[in-house]
Amino acid sequence: MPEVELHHDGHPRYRRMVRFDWSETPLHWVPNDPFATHMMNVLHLLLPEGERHFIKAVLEASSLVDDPELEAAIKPFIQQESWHAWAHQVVLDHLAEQGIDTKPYTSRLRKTLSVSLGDPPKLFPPAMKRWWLYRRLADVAALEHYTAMLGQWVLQNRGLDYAGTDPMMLDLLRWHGAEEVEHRSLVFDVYQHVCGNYFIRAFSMLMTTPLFIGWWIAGAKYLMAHDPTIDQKWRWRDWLRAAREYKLPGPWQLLVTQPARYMRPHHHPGPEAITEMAVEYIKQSPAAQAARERAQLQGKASVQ
Amino acid sequence: MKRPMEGAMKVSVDLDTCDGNGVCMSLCHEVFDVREDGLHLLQEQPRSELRGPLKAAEVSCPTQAIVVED
Repeated sequence: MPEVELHHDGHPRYRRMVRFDWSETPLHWVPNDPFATHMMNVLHLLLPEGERHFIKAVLEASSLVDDPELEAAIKPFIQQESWHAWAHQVVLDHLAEQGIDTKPYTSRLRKTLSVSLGDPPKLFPPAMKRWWLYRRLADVAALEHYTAMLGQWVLQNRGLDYAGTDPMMLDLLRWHGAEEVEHRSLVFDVYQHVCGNYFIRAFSMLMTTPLFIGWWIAGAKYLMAHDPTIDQKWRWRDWLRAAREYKLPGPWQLLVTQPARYMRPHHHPGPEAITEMAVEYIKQSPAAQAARERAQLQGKASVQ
Repeated sequence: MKRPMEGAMKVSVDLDTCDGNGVCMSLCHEVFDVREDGLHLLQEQPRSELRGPLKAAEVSCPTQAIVVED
C-alpha cells in the first residue's frame, strides 16, 4: 500500500480496512450530553442508508466517464463508502444492545431514499432516465458537500475532546471525516464530467438541504424518545448550546452558509477542506494504524 | 445427501470475480466479511430472515460475484 503517491487532490487513493471495538463505549459517549450524543448518533442511521445509494449512482455513472484518471478513482471511492456504511451499521447493533431499536426509523428512511435516490420509474423514456441519473448524481454531490464539510469540522474542532468524548467513537468520526475530506471532489467531478448543468446541481442542493436536516432532526428526536435512560426532549436551544461548545456544527452553518457556498456557480469542493489535515489524522488514528499493521502482516504472509 | 436446513438460504460467491469492494459487507455483515486476504463467508446457509439484506447484496455487488438461492 503506497503511502505517498501523486493523485488528484480530492480523489481517493485506497480504502483502509478499519475496525472498531464498541464494547467499552457508553450509551452517552459525549459524557453528560445525551443531546450531542444522539445528534451524532443520527449519522449512524443516515450514513449507511445514504452511502449505499451514493455507490449505486456513481457505479451507474461510471460507464459514462471517459477520463481514465477520474474512472480510476471510482473504485477506491466505492470501497471507502461501503466500508463507512459497514462501520456505522455495526454501531447500530451496539445501540440495539443498549436498548435503542433503530429499525423503524431506518426502514422508513430506506423507503424514502429508494424513491428519491433509487432507480427511475419504469415507464420513463430513455431521455428522462438519463435526466434521473443526473439528478441522483447531483443529490449525491450535494450530500457529499455536507459529508466533507462535517469531516473538516470534526477534524479541526476540539470541543468533543474537551468534553471527554469516548476515544473509539471520536476515532470513528474522524477517520470517516478524513476519508470524506480525502474524496470530497470525486462525485462532484463525476457530475461535472457527465452532466455539469448548474441548475440541476443548484436545485438539487435546495431540495437536499431541508430533507437532510429534517431527517437529521427527526432521527435525533427518535433516538432521544427511545433512549430508556433519559427524559429529555429535543430542543433548538440545546443545538445552539452544543454548537457554542464546539460539540456540533451550528444550524446556521448547515442550513444557510454551506448550501449558499455550494450554490455559487463556480463552486468546487477543492478549497472547501484540507486534504493534508485528513492525511495527517489518518497517520495517527489508532484504528487506521491497526488496519495498516494488519495489511502489512497480510502483505508479508502472502509473499511467504 | 445433506439437505439445507429448513428456512435457510444458500449463498455462494465466485471468489475469482470478487473484487473485495465490501458492498455486500455493508449490507449484510452477518454473512459477508471482507478482510485483508479477501472475502470470507461467515455462513453458507444463513437463516431466511436475512433474505432482504442478502438479496440486496446480490444485486448491489459491483462485480456480480454473489448468488443467493432460496
